[in-house]
Amino acid sequence: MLTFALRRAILGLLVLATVAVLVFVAFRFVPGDIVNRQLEEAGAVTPALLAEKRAQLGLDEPLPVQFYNWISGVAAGDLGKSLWSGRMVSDQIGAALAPTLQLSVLAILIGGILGIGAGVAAALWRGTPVDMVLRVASTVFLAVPQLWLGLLTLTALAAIGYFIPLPYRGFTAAPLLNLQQVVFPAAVLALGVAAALSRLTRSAMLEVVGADFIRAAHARGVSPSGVYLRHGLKNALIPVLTLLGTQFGNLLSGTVIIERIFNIPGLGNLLFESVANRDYPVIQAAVLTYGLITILVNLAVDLSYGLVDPRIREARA
Amino acid sequence: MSPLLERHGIKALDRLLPALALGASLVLPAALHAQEAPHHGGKVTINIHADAPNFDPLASTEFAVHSRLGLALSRLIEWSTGPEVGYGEFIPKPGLAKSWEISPDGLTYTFHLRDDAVWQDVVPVSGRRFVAADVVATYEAIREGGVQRGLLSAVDRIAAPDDHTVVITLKRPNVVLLQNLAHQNMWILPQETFNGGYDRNTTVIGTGPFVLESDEPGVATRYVRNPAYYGRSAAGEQLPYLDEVEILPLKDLNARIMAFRAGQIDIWFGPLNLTQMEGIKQAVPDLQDIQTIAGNQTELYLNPSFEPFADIRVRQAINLAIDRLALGEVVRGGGAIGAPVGPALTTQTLPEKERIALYGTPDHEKAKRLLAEAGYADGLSFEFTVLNYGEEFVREAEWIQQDLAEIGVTAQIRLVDTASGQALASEGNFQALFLIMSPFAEADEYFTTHYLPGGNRNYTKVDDPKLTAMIEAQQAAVDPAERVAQIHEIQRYIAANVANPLPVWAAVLLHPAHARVKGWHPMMTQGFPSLPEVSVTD
Repeated sequence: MLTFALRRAILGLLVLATVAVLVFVAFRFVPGDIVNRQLEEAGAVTPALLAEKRAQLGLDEPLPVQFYNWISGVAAGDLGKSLWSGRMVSDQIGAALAPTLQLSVLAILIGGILGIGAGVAAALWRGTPVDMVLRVASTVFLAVPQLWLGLLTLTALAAIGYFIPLPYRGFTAAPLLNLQQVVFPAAVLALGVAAALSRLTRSAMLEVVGADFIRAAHARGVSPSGVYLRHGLKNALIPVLTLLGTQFGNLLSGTVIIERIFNIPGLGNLLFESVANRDYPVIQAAVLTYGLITILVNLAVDLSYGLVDPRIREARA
Repeated sequence: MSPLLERHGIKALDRLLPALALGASLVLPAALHAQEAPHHGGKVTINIHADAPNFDPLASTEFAVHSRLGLALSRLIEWSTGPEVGYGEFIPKPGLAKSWEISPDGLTYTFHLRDDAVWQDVVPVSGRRFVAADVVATYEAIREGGVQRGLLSAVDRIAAPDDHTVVITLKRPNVVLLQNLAHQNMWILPQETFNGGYDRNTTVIGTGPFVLESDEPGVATRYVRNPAYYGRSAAGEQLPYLDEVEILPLKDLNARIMAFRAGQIDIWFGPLNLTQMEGIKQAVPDLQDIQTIAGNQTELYLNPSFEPFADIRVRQAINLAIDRLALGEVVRGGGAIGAPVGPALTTQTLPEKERIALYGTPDHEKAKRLLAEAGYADGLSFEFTVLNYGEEFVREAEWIQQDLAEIGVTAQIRLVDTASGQALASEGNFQALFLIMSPFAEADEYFTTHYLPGGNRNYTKVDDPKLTAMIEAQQAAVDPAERVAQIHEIQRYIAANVANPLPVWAAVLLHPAHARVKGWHPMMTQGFPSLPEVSVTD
C-alpha cells in the first residue's frame, strides 16, 4: 500500500511540475501585463515610466530567467509576492483556501448524500414514477449551467424576501452567519455533483443487485435493507468513489464563478481577479493549489478503494 | 424619421423618453432633498466592485485604491460638491491649503496651509500637526517615482519657506496646475512614509474625514469617523456626520443589485444600466435616482499604419457612417454625444449643437463619395478590436459594425479582454480599436494624452505641430473665457484635420442611493468628496 501511495505521489509531483510549466508559459503569451492594469486610469504616463515599472517587477527579464526565479522560489517554499498587491502570495492563497475548501467539502457532502441516496432509491424503485422523476431531475441538473443556477438562486431568494447576509464572515468568527452565506452556493454546486452521482449509483446498483452474492444474501435471510446497503451499495461504491474524485475537480472549477456570484472571498475569486490583472505569481500559485488539491483528492480516492474492497487491498499488498 | 432609425426600429417618441427621464431625474432629486438638518451618527455602506490591491497612492492609478484612499486622505485643493455643482464641474475648494495666490506671470503659486489639520492618530505619525514639509515630501516623491508624476511635469521647484506655506514654481505657465493638485491621485501623505517610517502599502495615515479601521480583501473595508478632521459644514458643524463607512467589494453585478435591493448597500458605485435600474426601482421605489453624464466616453481609433486609415477621407467617411444619436438612445438609453473633449466637461466640450453637427449627423451618400475619392469605391474591410467592457459596450461596437456595412465597409469584430486590449493599443497593434476612455476631468488631459507625441493615449501616433502648438497655448491662457475659446478651437481643428480617434458616446451614469442617505452628491473624481457631508436619517 505504501509503495502504491508513493508511486502515486511521485506521479502527482510530475503532473504538478507540468502544470507549473504550462501555466507559466501560457500566461506570458497572453497580451497585456500588470503594468497596463496599474496605469489604466492614468492620463500622464510616459513609455519610460512603463518600462521603469516593468523593470521594478522583473518583467523585463528573459522568460527562462523569470521562470527560474519563480520555480526556485516555489521549490524553497516561497511563492513570491503579488505584483498587484505586493502581499505574500502564500498569505493570499492561505486566506482564500479556507472558504473554497469549506464550500467544496460542503458541496461534496450535500451532493454525495443527495446523489447516492437518489441513485439507490432509483435503483430500488426501478421503472416506477419515483425512478422516472429522479432520472429526469438528474438529467436536468447535469444540463443546467452553475452560473445560471447561481443567479436563479439569488433571484429566487430575493423574490421570497431573503437576502444572504453581507459581508462574508469566516466559520470560526461567526459560524451561524457563515453557514447562511455558504449553504446556498454549496447547494448550487452540489446539485451538479448529485446529478452525476445519482445516475452512476443507480446503474452500479442495478448491476450489483443482479449478482449471485446478492441472491445468496437474500437466501441467507438477510433483511432487504441489509442486502442493499451493506452488500449492494458497498460493492457499487468503487465507480461512485472514482466519480466523486473527478467531481471534486469539476467542483473546484465551478467555485470560480460561484464565489463571485455569492461574494465568497475564496480561491476562485482570487484566481479570477489575478487573471484579469495579469498577476502572474498569484495565477501560478492558485493554479498549482488547484492542481495539488485535485491530485490529493484523487490519491485519497485511489487509497480508499482498498478500504472499500478487500480484493484491491490484497492485490496492492 | 431617418432611414437608419427606422432600420433600428426607433420611434420618435422613444427618442424623447430617455431625455425626458434624464431631465426629470436631474431635477427631482434636488427638489426631493429640500433637507432636514443633518445629524451626526450612523453608517453607510458603499459597493466598489474591486478590492484595493494595496494603499500606496504612488504605485498605481487603480480606482479601487484611490476611491478608498479618499475617505482617509486629503488633497491640497479639493473639489466643491453640492446640488448646485455639476458632476464633471471642477470648482476648486480649499483642502489642506486654505488659500493660494498666483503671480502675475503665472509661474509662481503660493499656497497658505491650514494650521488646524492634524494627522490621524496612527503610529508612527500619531496625531502630529500637518506641516508644509509633508506637502513637499509628497510632491517630490511623486516627481521622483509616482505614477502620477506627469501631473507635475510643469513644476520646476517646490519649497516650504515656513511650516504653513508652500511655493510651487513652474517651468512654464500652466493654468491646469490647480486642477492637477486636486486630481484624484494627488493625496498628501505624511513625510514619515518617505523616510521608511511606515509601509504605505498596508497602513493609511491621513488628514481626511475617516480613519481606516480594517481592510479584508474580498470582504470589506471599514472606516470610522476621524474626530480630529478639520472640515466644517457651511453651518459650522464638525464633519463628517457619519460614524462609520463600510465599503463592500461585491464583484458580481447581480449580487450588487440584490445587495442594494436588500438595503445592504446604501450608495451605489459602478456600472449599472437603465434596465437594471428599472428593476431596482420596482423593489426600492423611494430610492434617490441620481443620473449624470458619464465622465468617460467611447472612442474609435483608426490606425493610420493600416493603409486605408492613413487617408483622412476614409476616417471622415467612417465618422459620417455612424448614427451616434440612435446608438445612444437604443444601446445606452441616454447620455450625450461625444467630442474630442468628453461631454461631461460641460464648459470645455463643444456645445451640443456643434457636437451633433460634427459627429451626430450621419450622411451615407457623402461617406461613400469620400471612400470613392480615396480609392475605396468598392468598400474596404478591417479588423475591429473591441475591448470587452461589458454587454452594452459590445452592442455599441456591433451598432457601429452595422452602420459601417451601410457604406460598404466590413468591420470584423475581435473581442479581447481589457488588459490585452490596453497592450494592443499601446503597441499600436490594431487596425481599428474601440474602447472606453478614462474619466478625464480636464480638457488638457484629453489633449496631452491623445494628441501630443508620446501621449499615453496617442495610440494612432498623432504628430501635428500646429495642434501641438495650440495645445501648449491653451495651457498658458490665464483668462478662463479665452482658454475655453481656445479649447473649443482645438476640438474643431481635430475634427477637421485629425479625425482620430473618433469620439462616439458618453453613457448616462446611474448613482442610485437609498432614501435614508442625505447630502450625497457623486462627482467625477475618485474618493467620494461629498462623503464628509453625508448623513443618514435613522
